Amino acid sequence: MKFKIRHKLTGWMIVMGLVPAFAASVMGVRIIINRLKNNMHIESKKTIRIGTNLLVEHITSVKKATSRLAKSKLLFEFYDKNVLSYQKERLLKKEFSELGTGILQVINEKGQLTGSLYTGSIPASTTRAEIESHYENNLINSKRLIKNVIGNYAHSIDIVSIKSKKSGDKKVNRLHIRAASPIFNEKYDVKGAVVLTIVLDKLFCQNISTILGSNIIIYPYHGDYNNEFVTSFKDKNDALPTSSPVKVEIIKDFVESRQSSQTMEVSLFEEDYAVSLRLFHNYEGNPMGILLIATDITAIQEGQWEAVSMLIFIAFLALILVIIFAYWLSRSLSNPIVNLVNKANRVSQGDLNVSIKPKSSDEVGELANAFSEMVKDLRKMHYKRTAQISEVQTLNEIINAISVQIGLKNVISQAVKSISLAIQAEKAAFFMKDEDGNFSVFYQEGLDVQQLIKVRKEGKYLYESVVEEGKIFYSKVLSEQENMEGIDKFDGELFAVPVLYQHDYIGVFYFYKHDEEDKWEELHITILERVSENLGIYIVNAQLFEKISRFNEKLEIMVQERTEELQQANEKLENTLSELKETQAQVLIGERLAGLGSLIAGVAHEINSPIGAIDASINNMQNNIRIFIDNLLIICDSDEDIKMLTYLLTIMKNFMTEDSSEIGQYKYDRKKVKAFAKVLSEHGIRRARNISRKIHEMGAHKYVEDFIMSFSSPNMGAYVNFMYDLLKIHRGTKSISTAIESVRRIVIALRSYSHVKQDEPEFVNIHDVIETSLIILANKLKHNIEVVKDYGDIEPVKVYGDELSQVWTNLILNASQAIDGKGKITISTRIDKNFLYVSVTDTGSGVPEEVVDKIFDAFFTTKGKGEGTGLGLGIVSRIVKDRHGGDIKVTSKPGKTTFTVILPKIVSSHTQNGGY
Amino acid sequence: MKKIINPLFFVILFLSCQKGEKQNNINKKNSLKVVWAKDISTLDPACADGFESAEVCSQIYESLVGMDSKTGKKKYILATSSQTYADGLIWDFNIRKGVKFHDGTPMDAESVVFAFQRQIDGLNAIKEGKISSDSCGYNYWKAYFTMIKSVKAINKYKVRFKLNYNYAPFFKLLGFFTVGIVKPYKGKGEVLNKNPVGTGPFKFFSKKEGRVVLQRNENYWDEENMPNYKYLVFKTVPDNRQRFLLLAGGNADIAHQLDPQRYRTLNLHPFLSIKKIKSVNVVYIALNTSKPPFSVLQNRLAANHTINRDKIVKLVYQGTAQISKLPIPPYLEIENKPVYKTGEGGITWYEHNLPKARALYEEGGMYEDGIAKSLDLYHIRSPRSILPNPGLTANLIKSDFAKVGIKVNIHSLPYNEYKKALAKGRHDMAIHAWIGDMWDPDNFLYGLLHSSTATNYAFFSHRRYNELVSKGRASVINEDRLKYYNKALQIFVKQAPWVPLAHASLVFSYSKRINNVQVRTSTTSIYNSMKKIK
Repeated sequence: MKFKIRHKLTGWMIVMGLVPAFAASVMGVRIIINRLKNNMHIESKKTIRIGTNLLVEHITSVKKATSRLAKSKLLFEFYDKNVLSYQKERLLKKEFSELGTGILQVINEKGQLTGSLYTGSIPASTTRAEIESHYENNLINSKRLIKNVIGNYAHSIDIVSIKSKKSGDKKVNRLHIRAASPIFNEKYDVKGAVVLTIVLDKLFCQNISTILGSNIIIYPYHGDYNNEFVTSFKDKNDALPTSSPVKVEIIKDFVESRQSSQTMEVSLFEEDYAVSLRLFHNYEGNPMGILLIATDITAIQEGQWEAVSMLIFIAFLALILVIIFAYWLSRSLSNPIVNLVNKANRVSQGDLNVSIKPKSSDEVGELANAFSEMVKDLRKMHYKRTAQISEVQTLNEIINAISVQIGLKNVISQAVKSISLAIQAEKAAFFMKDEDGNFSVFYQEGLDVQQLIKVRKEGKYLYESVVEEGKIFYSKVLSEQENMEGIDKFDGELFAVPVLYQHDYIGVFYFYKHDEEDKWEELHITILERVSENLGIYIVNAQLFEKISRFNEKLEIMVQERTEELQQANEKLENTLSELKETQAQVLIGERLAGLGSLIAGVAHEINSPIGAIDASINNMQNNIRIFIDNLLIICDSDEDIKMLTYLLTIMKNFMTEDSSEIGQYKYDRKKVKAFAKVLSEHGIRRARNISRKIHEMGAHKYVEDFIMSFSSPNMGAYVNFMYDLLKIHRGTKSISTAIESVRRIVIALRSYSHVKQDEPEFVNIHDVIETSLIILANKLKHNIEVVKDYGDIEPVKVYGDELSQVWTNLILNASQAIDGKGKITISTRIDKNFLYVSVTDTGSGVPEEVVDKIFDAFFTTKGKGEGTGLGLGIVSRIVKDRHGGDIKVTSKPGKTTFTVILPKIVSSHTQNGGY
Repeated sequence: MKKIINPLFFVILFLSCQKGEKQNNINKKNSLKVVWAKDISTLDPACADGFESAEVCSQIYESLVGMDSKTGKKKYILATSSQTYADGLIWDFNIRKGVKFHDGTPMDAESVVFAFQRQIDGLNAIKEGKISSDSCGYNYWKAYFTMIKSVKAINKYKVRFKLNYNYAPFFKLLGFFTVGIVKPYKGKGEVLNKNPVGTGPFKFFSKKEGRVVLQRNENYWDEENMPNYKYLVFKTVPDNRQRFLLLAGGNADIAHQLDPQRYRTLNLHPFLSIKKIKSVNVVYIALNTSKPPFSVLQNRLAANHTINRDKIVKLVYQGTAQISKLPIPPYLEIENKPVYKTGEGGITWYEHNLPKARALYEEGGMYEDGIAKSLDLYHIRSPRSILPNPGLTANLIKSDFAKVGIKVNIHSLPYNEYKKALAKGRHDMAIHAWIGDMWDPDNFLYGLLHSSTATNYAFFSHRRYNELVSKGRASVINEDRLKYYNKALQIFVKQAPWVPLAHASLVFSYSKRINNVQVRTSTTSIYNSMKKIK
């Protein structure tokens, strides 16, 4: 479903009208109902208040009547005589009979009943005497009342519930007002009391009902609400209702709620009533009865419904008006728009012959005006465009036709044909400029073209004059043209179109037509102008193409010849290259060995030192062993306990087993040395100070001390010397093994250095590799060179370790040369993610900026002739980059040159297998 | 959207305007209305003689201390604690902090001192003749507070009382409404009539003939006892029946001084309620002992035999009072001990016996020249809360005297004229009702019978009696007090300066729209505790 603006507008207006109308109606209805309900509530409360006060007033009347009676002469007479004449009795009854059915009782000062007077109807089933005695019995029971009246002179008033005398089968509770007043004599002495008991009967109800205009029901509080009640209500037959008009449940609920009053709406006798309930109590405050006032609210309800229905009706009426108005308004708004839309649709479908007469001067009218202006403009535009389109189309066709042609002849013939077709020329010709600059007919078409070609203007051929003038020649009737020759036969039109290419006219077209009815127009001139512009290009292109085709053929032959020559040269080159490679490898190995040679002198020196040490140690040991044996003999000669020697040997053995120190490791305390020397000299040992120091140096003083302290012997000196010799021999062996270890390390370093090519990368500790290089270079790094090792915490890496040792050797050697034997070389390692960084920094003068880029080239050297091969860093670069796939970087400034080698942590074995 | 909002806005504005401003009117819902028979005479608590003035003053001003209306125990109000030194000659009271007068001025020790000192100074001025004693003679102070030697502020929140002699019920005395703390003023005490400013739960709102309106003190310090209604209206309606009708018709919430004959009807009325409150009071006939014939003892005794008290009490009170024998009711106790014995062996009063009366009158010279003198009986015209029907009472007395051949002229006067007449001693007899504000025998035995007090309308002057009641008020030992008062009472019986009539219950007649009806120290109502049922 598609909604028009009209529908939307109507819809919105209805909604906008409907919602407030609905809300207003609902609110209105609510307010009316609430107001009426409130009013009813207030009214009910007022009614119950008045009703209650009327009840109280009635009670007061009874009391007053009693007081009045207490002073009445007739009563005194009745008091004295107990019996009155009929006339007087009537007069006395009159004093209270208007209060309702009731009984007057007189008691004496002792509280005894002396007389009764009943007023009211007497049912046929009973007698007045019976009724009076019934009340008498009841009164005798209210001793409190009698006592209060007689004893306190107090006026009493109360509400009592008395069971009626049997009337039929029902014994019913009836509520009574009972008032008592003391009877005084003239001296204000109490003589007795008068008691008036008045029934709250239907008469009372009717009286109140008359005043209030509402019906009332009185229920005894303790009773059967369905049967025991009095009311002003009458049923349909205008008789007293036999059962409670109000549902007993309502009364029971009210009683149970323990509220003192309540208001509600109830339906009674098929009519609506506002019902108010009120509890009333006796003197002691015990609830005695329920006063119910029922106000007929049917009229109010009707009024309410009338008001509500009126409101709804008006709201409905307003709604309909709104709908009609909404519809009208939307129509009047949307119709011109719809009209416009229809017209616009027609325009969009291409019908431009649309016009709109604006009906109004409002916005819609303006819109219509604007629309019709727009359509006019559109129409104009449309015509112009159609012309342009046809022009372009013609052009396109022509150019398309030409562009697919190859070869000059084809191009021109196609051009002439297609243009002729487009402009319906009968005859056509094309003149082309040759290489000498002369024009000649290149192509012609149509009958008697020859004649046309010969047409001259002012002595020249027409085409020549056209070229000279440089613009299109057009003649409507050629034969009438002045200054022209050979035109007699030609009564038709002629176009002579010069063809321009890069400021040069390269040809001229003739188009001739003879048709009186369909003449060429301006449009055709435009087309021809455009075509001629393009044709120049196509024609030149066609000429060029022909030239190029010829040239190409020649070129192909040349290329073939050259290719063969190149192939031969290539083969030669390849041979040379492989030779070169072999040579290069040889050179590299040579360089390595040459490097080794230059190092070997230093290495030899390095080896020499430990060997010298071994030699010296062995000499010393020979001496020591001799002295040792001497001392052992001295000990064996003595009568000392063999245990002493055993102990000595044991502790010495322990010492030697436990001692893993290097020579010179122990620092000793001069004081202790001195003290120990004293101990030794006390045992007659010579050179005690020297021995003490040496023993301390060897870390064995505790053992010796232990021994000296454990035993005492005159030969203690021999024992100590024995121990001392033993220790010295021990130290000799240690020296020898240390020397041998350093020799071994040098040898390993050399071996790994000379190991030319490794097949597989292995896990190595990179620091070991660096150390190897340092061993090899030990001789070069002596004297004033400080080597700082700033090693990071680096796990083993998988590299070509032996090859790398060559890298470090080269770098460190370079560094030592850079600092010229004096300065600091810092070797630092660190690992970052998957790469290992090793940098060698020296404090030399630095690498000049201009050579930084070249230093890794082979054969580059800054050293003098014969000092270096210049292969070092080249090799380094190859090992790092090609073998490991790493990188090497240089930063240099005077005083700080750093070579940083970056290696992958794990090098795969197939990384660049070649290289040298 | 904007176009929708504008009209909507106006609709809302219109609707909200409909409700309108709340008006500050006094109506049934926001006020509690009291009707009584007599207009107030003053708003100065020190001068407030009469139930109505006392009632209004008690709402505006508060005392330092008081008594709990339910338990009857001592209670601090504007004071928070007290100490006593030097055998009860020095009393220090700490004053409650943060209490403000109705106008926002803070209440402190200085203002407490002012409330007392102004009465001392006023009385001195009267003595020196600087002020006439007509307007307000500070009679309460004269009768009850003369033991106070000085009142001084020790610091901002401590007040020291120095007494001339130890006064046993001193604490209770300070609960008396007459020493309610008024905001210090300049000039004469009359300013309080125009602009009474205290600290109480209600503040003065307006006053015109027959109508006083108090407004709830929104800043009342005792938040628990803030009234739940805004205005308290006291309206004077002299007619008994009209007051009843106002109450029954729902146009008043409390009606005072209704005819006891109405109590029965009231009790039956579904909208109304009555509450009997035990009160320490006495209604009596003061016999003017300062002039004949009642300067003669025989005549006083004869009068007691003449008046049938039992009948009067019955007829007037309709069972809401008990017959009185002595100035104090039997249920008035000192520290849980009754002041005098009742029943067998207790004190008895003179019975109604006309022959005996006649004989005594003969003796007393009442029937000189065979013609009985006539007696002037004065009473207040309007009913009192404990004397509901003064006219009937007077008439019954008159009829009793008629039986012995004595004529009684009844003078039924408005309150002020009555007071003046009594002060001048014009009366032979006066029917008087007295509510003890202090719940202490001193309030009756000293206040009404000591020769020095202005409220001694019998002009009873007995040296020994004076001695005894003075000792009674100054003693700290309860047994001693009981002894003194018993002896004083015996003198009272022998001398018979009064014909005691009744101890009545206070009967409160009120609408069931209010509850929690309470009375302060058996006299004034605590309106702020009463709740208006919404």
